Amino acid sequence: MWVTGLALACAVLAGLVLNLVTGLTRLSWGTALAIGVACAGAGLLIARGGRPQPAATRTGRFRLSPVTGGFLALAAVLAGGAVLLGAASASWHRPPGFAQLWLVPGHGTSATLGVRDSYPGRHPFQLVLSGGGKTVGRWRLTLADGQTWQRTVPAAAGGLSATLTTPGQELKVTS
Amino acid sequence: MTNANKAAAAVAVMAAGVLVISAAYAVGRAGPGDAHTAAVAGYWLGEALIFAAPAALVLGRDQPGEAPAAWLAVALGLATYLVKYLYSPAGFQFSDEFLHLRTLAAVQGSHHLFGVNDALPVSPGFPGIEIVTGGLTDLTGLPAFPAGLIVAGLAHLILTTALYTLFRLVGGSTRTGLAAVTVYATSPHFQVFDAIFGYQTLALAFFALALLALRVATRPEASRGRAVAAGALAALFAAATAVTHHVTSYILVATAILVTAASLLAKDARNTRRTYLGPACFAAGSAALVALWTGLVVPGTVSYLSPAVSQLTDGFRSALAGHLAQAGSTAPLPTPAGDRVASIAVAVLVMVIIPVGWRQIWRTQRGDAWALALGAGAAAYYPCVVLPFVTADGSELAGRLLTFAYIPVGYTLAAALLAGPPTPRRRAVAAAATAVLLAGGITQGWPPWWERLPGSYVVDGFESGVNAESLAAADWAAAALPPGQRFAADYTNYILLGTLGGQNPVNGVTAVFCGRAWTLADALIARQQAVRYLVVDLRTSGQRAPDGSLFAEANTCPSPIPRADLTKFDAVRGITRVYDSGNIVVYDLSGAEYAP
Repeated sequence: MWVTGLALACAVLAGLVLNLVTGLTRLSWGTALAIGVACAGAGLLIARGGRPQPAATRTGRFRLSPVTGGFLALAAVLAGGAVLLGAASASWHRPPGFAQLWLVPGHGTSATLGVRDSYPGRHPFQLVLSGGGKTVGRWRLTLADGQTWQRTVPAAAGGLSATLTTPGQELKVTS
Repeated sequence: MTNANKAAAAVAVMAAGVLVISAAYAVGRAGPGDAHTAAVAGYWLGEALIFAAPAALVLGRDQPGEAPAAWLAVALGLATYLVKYLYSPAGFQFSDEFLHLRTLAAVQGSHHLFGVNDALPVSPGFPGIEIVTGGLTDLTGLPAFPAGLIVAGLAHLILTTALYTLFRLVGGSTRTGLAAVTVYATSPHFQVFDAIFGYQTLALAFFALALLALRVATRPEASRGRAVAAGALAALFAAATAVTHHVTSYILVATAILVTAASLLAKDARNTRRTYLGPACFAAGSAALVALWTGLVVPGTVSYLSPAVSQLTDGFRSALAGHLAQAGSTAPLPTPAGDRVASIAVAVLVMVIIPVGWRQIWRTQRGDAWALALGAGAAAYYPCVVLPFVTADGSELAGRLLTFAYIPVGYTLAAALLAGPPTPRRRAVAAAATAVLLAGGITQGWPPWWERLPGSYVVDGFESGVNAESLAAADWAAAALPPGQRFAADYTNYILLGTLGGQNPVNGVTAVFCGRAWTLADALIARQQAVRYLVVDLRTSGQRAPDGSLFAEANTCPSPIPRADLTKFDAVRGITRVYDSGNIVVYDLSGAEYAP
């Protein structure tokens, strides 16, 4: 408890120092850790005055009886089972999927048109881009779960609108 | 059965409780159904098993041995942390975790502290948990989620064991130590809110260690060398608390002042100057650190906390004048009767038992300044009970304060429940009291009743309001838009866009969501707040918000909002619809004549 708490508190205060000196990078943290370990080791040696640890404390103080060990092993198995069940059940029940459609004006005369699929498996989409009263582009897409499709499209004077159609859903964006 | 065997059996029972809760959560993720009621019952059974184990050992005939009691305290911390972890094992889910994730992302992105967090501006000024988590990810390559879990988990374990040790030292027996820490673990926020990836979680660990070190330093029998070493540790932990969480550091100072005052009253021949000078010096030093940090590094803390303080003082002033807090404009969903009964029962029970504990402490420990301070601190429970009646956000404020008030309450209740020889009748009363404390702690705590089991989607229902579509919208904003764009949104999207989305959600604009037509007043509000994007979540028209409000601030919008109110933006000239995922639509106001 003391050692862990001390390590956390020293890490917080060391972070403040690193922020002023070098920034919080892997190298600076590695250096700080090395210095910390060296200082802790030196401090321990000084505190013990170079004397070897008494034999009584070297030979472990805790002797588990078979019954105690059995109960603790059972506890570990039950807790491990709880963690495994929790991790597994987090992905058991997927909500119904959805798609994302966007049309974001860019700088100047273009816009970004994009689609992302979050339906399970592969899913078909029909995308229609209109501008100035006529169809500017039409795409038939089949995307996998998590796959993104994106294009830069020229902006139109009267604005653009895009419609994404998939069984059971129609999405619409404008610019 | 030996003492060690009993403790090991108790640990196994606690682990069984965790497994039962994990199974209940797994069923909960399947959504509402026939098995849901059984899963809720399973959750309560699991909690009962976790707390029954240490309670049984405390109430047994033999005093628990030193090592078994200490390991049981560790097991209590571990079991309760697993309950929190199992709620969302795949990623952060709690609103405050997202807030700190953004601060962490800013630190990792810039390699420097004190960046910007629009969602919780005060957070970068108290970067303790982000420093440690960032360091861990830098050194090990772990992603933020497991690294945050490790840091929060260690902090939770340290809090539990440090409090056990403190209670053990003050009470003078393992029975008192274990009883007090078990009562503390029933406090409303201990299991979840005080174990999330948030700044208070780590600060609480430092807070408990600072108090423990101070106790060791001021013991009359401690040698000079030991007292100096413990005093240095107390100062180190106080410094770490001051840079990690504002309120925790203020309460650390207040606690040291209380101990100083108690040490002046304590009448014991063994007491020396160290008994009162130690806490006094510690209080002065900690106060100076806190003032320096707040004044020089995070002056915004004052404006962040002042609304809550004003609300408190105004509320108490109004209550003294005979006016109680008014309910919000939209009513929350009715709390289940069982929850209401348990919450009232625990409040009554604690208020009744505290004076018994005071009597016991006065009779047996009036020479111990720390016991007197813990007894006096328990009085903080009474205003916490009154808070929900005097201020609008009283329940939330009370819940936050109970995290601290329960430390002295835990000790005082333990003193009361363990007074006298452990006769079967006394044991039965203490066991019943523990059951009420646990039930009331859960019903008053977090997560609230509608999301006690994870899984079901509840619109703007805190953790239950976060689902894949909301997360995807925030991820899209982070990828497709420049950071820091000003957004208007409902509660869930407000939190997610302000954190994962890297945007700047604003307050004071909820009125634009209500009403059939886009009016000049709406346009003026949008312009005054410089809103660039507006997020509409159509699900807010289908469900009532469980706590009565769909937004992060007080508002007058109905819940649910009529669908026509939400779709009106499609017909407004100049407002374009830049994003659509079915339920969530993002509008760009930049083309409108009044928008920035």
